[in-house]
Order: sequence, then C-alpha cells, then structure tokens
Amino acid sequence: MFQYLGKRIGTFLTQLGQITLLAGHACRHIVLRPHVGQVFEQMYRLGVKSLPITTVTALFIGLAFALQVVQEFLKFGAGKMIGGIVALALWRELGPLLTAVVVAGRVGAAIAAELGTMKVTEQVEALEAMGQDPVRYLVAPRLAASTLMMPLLVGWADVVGFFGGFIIAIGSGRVNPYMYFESAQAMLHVKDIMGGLVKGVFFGFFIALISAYMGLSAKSGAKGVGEVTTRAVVVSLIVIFVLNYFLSTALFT
Amino acid sequence: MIELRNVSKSFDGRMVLHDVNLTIQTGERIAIIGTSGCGKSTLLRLIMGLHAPDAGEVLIFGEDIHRVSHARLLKIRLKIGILFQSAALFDSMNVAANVAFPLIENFNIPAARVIDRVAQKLELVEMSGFGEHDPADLSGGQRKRIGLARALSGDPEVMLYDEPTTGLDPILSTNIEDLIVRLSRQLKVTSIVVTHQISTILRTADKIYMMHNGTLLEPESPETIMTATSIYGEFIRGGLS
Ligand SMILES: Nc1ncnc2c1ncn2[C@@H]1O[C@H](COP(=O)(O)OP(=O)(O)OP(=O)(O)O)[C@@H](O)[C@H]1O
Ligand SMILES: [Mg+2]
Repeated sequence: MFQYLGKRIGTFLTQLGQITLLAGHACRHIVLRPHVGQVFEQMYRLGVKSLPITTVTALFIGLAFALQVVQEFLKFGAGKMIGGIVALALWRELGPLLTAVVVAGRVGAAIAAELGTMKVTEQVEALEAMGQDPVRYLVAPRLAASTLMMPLLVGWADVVGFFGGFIIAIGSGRVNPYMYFESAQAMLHVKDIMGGLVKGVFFGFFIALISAYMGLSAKSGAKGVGEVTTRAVVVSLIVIFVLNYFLSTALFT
Repeated sequence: MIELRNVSKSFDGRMVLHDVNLTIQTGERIAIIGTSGCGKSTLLRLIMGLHAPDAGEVLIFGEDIHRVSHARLLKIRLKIGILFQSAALFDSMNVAANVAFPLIENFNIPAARVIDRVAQKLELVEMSGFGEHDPADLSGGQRKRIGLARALSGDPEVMLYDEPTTGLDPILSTNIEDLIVRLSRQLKVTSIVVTHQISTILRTADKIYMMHNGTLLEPESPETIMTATSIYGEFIRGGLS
C-alpha cells in the first residue's frame, strides 16, 4: 500500500520535473529562436478555429446566466444592476473558465492526439533525423500560440456572453437597454478586464504545455494515443479549475 | 566514415545490442540482415543519434555523436539521410512539402530551386506527379518511395535505408536497388541497407553483415553468401531455426 503510494508519488514528481524541463526548453525557443511560420500556423489552427465553438458557448452561457439574474434581480427591484452583474461574472469567472474548458477539450485533445500520433508513427524521430528539434518545431509554437490566442478568445467570449445577457435583459421588457450598459460601465473595472485576460494567458499556457507533454509521452499503438489524449484533457481541466481558484484569489480579492 | 565501438543498448533491462563493432568506409555499401526484432532498426537509430547507447561510441566523420552538443548533433545529422522502416511521412503535409521539408528548414535555398529539387527527387523514385497527394492516400510502397525521396532531398553523404524495397513489386524493387548503387557510385554516398529481401542484399551490398544475438558476425560477400555453409547460408536459405 505504502509502496504503491510511494511509487505513484515518485512517478508524479518525475513527470512534474519533466514538464517543467519541457516548459523551460520550449520557452527558451520561443524567446531565442522561434519558428515563426509554425507559430502563425498554430495561432490559426488553435485560436482562430476555436472561434465558432467559443462563440456558441459564450452566447448560451450569457443567455442562461442572464436569465437567472434578470428573474431574481427584478424581484428585488435591482434591475439597474443587471448589466453590471452579468459583466462582472463574465469577465472575472465565466468567460475565462468556460473558454478554457472548451479550449481544453478542442485544442488540448488536438495537440495531444496530433503529437501522440507523430510520436508513435516515428514522425517525431523523422523530424530529429532532419536536424529539427521537436521541442522547437512542435511544442514551442503550440505553446506560444495557445498562450497568445487564449486571452483573445476569452475577451471575445466575454463580449459575446455580455451580448447574450443583453438579449435576455431587453427581452424581459423590464430592463432599460441604456441602463444595462451603464451599470456594466460603472461596475466593471479595468482590473476585472485585465484579470480575466491574465487568467486566459495562464490557461492557454498550461493547456498547451500539458497536452504537448502527454502527446510526446505516447507509447506505440492507437490505444497509447487515445489514452494520452484523454489524460491531456482530464489533467488540463483539473489544473484549470485549481488554478482558477488561486488566480481569482490573487487577482480579485 | 562511420565507426561503432563496443556499442551496447538495452530497453527496459533487455539487452538488444551487445558489444557491436562496425567500421564503414566512405562510399562503401553494406547490408545488414537478421531476424525480425534482433535490433537492426535500433542500430540505424544509434547511428542517427536518435537513441543513446548504454555503452560504447558512435563515430560519424570522426565525431562521437553522443558526446557532442545537441546543436552539433543536429548539424551532423544533416549529412545523413534515413529512410524509416515505416517511411514516417508527415501526414500534416502533402508529398511535395514532405520532400521539400529538409530543404526549407535546413538550407537557405530559393523557392524555385526547392521546387526543381523536389521534382527531381520525385522522379528519381518514380513518383512524379504525386506532389499534391496526401501521404495518407498512398500505398505502402508509394509511401516508402516518398520517404526515400525526402531522405535524399538534402543530398546526404550517408544514407541509412531501413527495408527500402519491402512492399515494392519486382520491377520497382530493382529500380530502387539500382538507385542505391548509382548514388554510391556517382556521388560516393555511403550506404547501410537493412533488408530481408535477397535480391536487395545481393544487388546493393559490397559486404553483408548478419546480426545475431545482439552482435554483428564477420561479414560475407554477395558472391559467396548463397553457398556459404555458415549461419549466413542457413539464414538466407531460410533454414535458421
Ligand atoms: N523505443 C523502444 N523501446 C523499447 N523497446 C524497443 C524500442 N525500440 C526497439 N525496441 C525493442 O528492441 C528490439 C529490436 O527492435 P528493432 O526495431 O531494432 O528490430 P528490427 O531488427 O529492426 O526488427 P524488424 O526486422 O522486425 O524491423 C525489439 O525487441 C523491440 O521490441
Ligand atoms: Mg526494423
């Protein structure tokens, strides 16, 4: 029992060390010798192509959240605050968190599956054989692209979600459309906006890092790729939720 | 020149290569044969620096590739081309981009010359007109040939071929064997051919090594191997148990 536990902790610490090394190695390449072409390609594939799913998710989150807020706040005659509450909730928590969840599912799985397949079909070795460093060519661009694009997606999700809330608010017929924006302007501070984007930066970085690490650790066979893909998403999600709590504590209290 | 000195390699505690010694002169062509799983591909990976040996040295052009810096190793690799057993094509790129990859990433060659070079290499492996295809849409033998074109695109001084003719029909097989010989005759390309195909062994190699129990046996020549009474003869004639 203790032996088993000890072994698991040992494995965990080893992996943590390897991930840290991978992060260091990749960051060095991003700063010193980035593969610009790959960075742009990944920004498109990981970022731009995540726009539709982010938009739909954010819109419906905005709709659903506003539905509750509008109902309850009107009961207390606090209709004037609805815009502000929706904006705060979105920018601080819902936007970053839900975008990260969606991106972890789409981008994290894509990175892990792609790198995993490349690993088990000797493509990673082929890269090395042709004088390329796989960390520079594969990991660093994905890490850079995800870290850059994630805050943009978060910002977009916030705007779309806020618009969703607006639809519900005026749909109720009892909220003044001007008040919706005005209260948001009054209650939402630069600190909240920046805080949400900072969360996006962290989430983007960790989703790509964890998924790339998992992908490159794939062992031969399709089962290996499937396994690391699942693990990439699960671990990313856990890290996102835990990290989100600490970031909220640090940024908004 | 390539030299392996007392190279050993094990995976998960299981010894695959044990005290392997091998010297290959510039321009020489050798074949390596041996039972499936005996460590032939592993040997090629060691020469490419893709695996590190547990013991021993791998010298390429006089440099121990497992002692040099990573950056230096990447440079040395540019002089070596490898055809992987699985071809290992990048399936995120089409055929032309695969063949162009080493040229674009490693050498500062203008785009027009890259296109010429790609066309020339595709012609060499009789795959002209397939540039726009996706690797996934090709047959095993076609993938192999694209892998060969890609390995050759940087005009390497050393070529490592892992089963270059497996999956090819006899005519194509012969053409690829001729290509291997031609490259070595005309361009002095040193070559190591891992193969199970008897015609390839006989037609491409000056020397034939057999891998047995983790080491390389004393080489045979293509002229004598068919009638050899040694383990070589037995293996070639299919009598090895
Ligand atoms: N990365 C690896 N991890 C663990 N074991 C490995 C690895 N690579 C090779 N092996 C093992 O080493 C042994 C030799 O493998 P290798 O691929 O070199 O054989 P081979 O001679 O090329 O066989 P074949 O003719 O079937 O291609 C096999 O038993 C294989 O399981
Ligand atoms: Mg092999």
